[in-house]
Amino acid sequence: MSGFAQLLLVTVLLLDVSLAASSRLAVLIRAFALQAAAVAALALVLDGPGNPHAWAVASGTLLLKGLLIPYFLGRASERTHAVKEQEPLVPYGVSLLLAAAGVALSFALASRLPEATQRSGILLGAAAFATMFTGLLILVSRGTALAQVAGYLVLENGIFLFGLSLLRHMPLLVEMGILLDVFAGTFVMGIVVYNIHRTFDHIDVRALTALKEAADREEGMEEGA
Amino acid sequence: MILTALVLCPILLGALAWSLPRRTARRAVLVGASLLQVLLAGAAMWRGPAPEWGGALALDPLGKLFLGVTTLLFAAASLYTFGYMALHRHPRKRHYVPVLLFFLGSMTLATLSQHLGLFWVALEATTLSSAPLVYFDRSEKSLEAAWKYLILCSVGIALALAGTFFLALALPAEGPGSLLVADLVAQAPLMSAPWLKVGFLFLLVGYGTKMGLAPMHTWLPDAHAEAPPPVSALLSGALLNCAFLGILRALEVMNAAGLASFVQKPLLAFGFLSMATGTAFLIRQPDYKRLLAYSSVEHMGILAVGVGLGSAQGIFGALLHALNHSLAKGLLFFAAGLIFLVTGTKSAAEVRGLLGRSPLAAALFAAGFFAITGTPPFGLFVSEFTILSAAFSAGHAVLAVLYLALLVAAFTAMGAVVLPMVFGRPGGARGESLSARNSWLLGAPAALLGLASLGLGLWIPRGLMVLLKAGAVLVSGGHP
Repeated sequence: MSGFAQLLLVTVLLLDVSLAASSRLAVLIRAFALQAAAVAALALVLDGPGNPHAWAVASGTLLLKGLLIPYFLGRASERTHAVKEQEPLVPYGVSLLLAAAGVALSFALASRLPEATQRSGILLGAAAFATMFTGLLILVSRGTALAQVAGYLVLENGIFLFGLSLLRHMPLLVEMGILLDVFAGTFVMGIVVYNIHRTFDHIDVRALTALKEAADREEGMEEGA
Repeated sequence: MILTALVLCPILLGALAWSLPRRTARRAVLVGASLLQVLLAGAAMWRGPAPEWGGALALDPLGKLFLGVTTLLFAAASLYTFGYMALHRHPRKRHYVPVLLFFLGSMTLATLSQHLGLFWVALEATTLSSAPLVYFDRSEKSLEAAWKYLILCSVGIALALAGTFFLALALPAEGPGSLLVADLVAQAPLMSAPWLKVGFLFLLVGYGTKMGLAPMHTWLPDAHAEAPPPVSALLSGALLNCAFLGILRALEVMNAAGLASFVQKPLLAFGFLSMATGTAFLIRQPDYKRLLAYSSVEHMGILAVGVGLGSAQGIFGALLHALNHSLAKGLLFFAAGLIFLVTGTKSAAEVRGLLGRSPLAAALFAAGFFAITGTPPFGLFVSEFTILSAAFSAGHAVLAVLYLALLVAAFTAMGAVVLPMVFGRPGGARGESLSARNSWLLGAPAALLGLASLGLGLWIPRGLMVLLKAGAVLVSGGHP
């Protein structure tokens, strides 16, 4: 693996840690965009610039995940006046430590990957696992709808990164389908978030509990009393 | 050609409907598209078309079964929609018909996909196209339901994508390295067992989320209860099957790799947990649409138990059960829509003495209740019994007894809610009464599904029998 590819993977890993610790949505979105751009560049570097398939995947990723999705999320956060999450479920300091632990764990996991994938080195597997882990961490630790969308996107980044080592297995049609699904998914989620803001005047999805079962609610009341 | 047409026709007609300004015109397109789809699907099943898109689209026995269910249920739902939307007061929604047709196209693609990556793309597209349908009412509750549905299923399905990649990792370094099911099955004995196992677990949890297996089912009652009735029928009767198909595809590979004993435990565990959870929330359930949704969780559990037994007989029973469940649940959601129109409430306690108010709604709902709980002579009795005897012949006597106990508990719990609604002393909430024409429009699709469910309990046509057996052989890898 080239030195440039390694540099890109280290960038992805560092962004994971900063994603887990950032409270401001704008920072979260920008870090995600950078990470997506790094993944796009990796698609090109790993499979050689002579490969048209790699070009298509890289440019698709850069366009949709690096530019359009972040632009769209940025607008959504402006419209919903969501700037920063004040009370995450897990404090940011703890998130930071967990993400760092996730990175370490990912290296241990990646070193056990079968030989066939090691053509791209242990660093690729580690970056993929760490990014998936960070995405899940953001999903469970944040309560704002937009932060959860970002968490989903980071998780997807990690899975996509994992898929890069398998580029030859995937027809271009499928790769493009996956990208398009993620883009359309963000779009639909954005619309729902906007409607949540319009209806409830906030986008804290932890506060949406009207549909819980009656039994759960009674228990909740007892705890409250 | 015909397989591509099956996927593209609904999507293109959906785009056409988008451009039509008149509501009646859009609804006409919906009914036309669903009837065209029935014709196309029928022709495809009759002719057995050659694979298309380099083998990524093909019609195998499993695909035929689920394509058939999806197409028929959609046709019934589109006829029902025609009557329902005319009565139910709702905000003007231009996107309803186009999105519904896009939903049909993506479900059809899922049933035809032979490539695991393409299947994933199709299944995620079903989530995205059905989420706006869940938010149809524009109420706070439906918004909450749509959000939960969207985020939980998207994350679940993302895990299934990781699972798909893990399967690809398990492939031997030399060889075609494709993710076509046939190629995977052929290569399975050479694949790396640990990666296959990890991949299967991710696929099971991922697609299991979308299928509504407990404990990943939490989004399901909300989404299925808040969507309008024809959409609920499709979510429950057609979409859950598509997710189940994803698990069946993974099972094909696992069984061909000789890992049948590994897959049984997680399947049985999720299956029994879903049956127990679904049944527990049936007890004194205050909302009759949620009642139907939890019953879906229970029945998805039965499917998981059926395939988890590992024998071809169990898989046969599960496939038959999937078909039966779709028919009966379609009937029930259609009947629930009628009840809502007649009474104007979703609360089971406020609906009493339906038999006096609307004999049509009462008869359909009661028939649906007996069908879904596996009362003879309905089809579900046959499939539930097949799975029960598969459990005994596989030597799982304890599990068989537990299975039977849960079925009886579900019958009792559901009956305690449904029977007072139908037979109780008249009173409670009152909505509008139905004209004869509307009763016919709304009742006919429901009654047809009910008759089909009844028919399957009395006699399974030979063509269907061959299809189910071929499907069971495919999943079990030819092992008896």
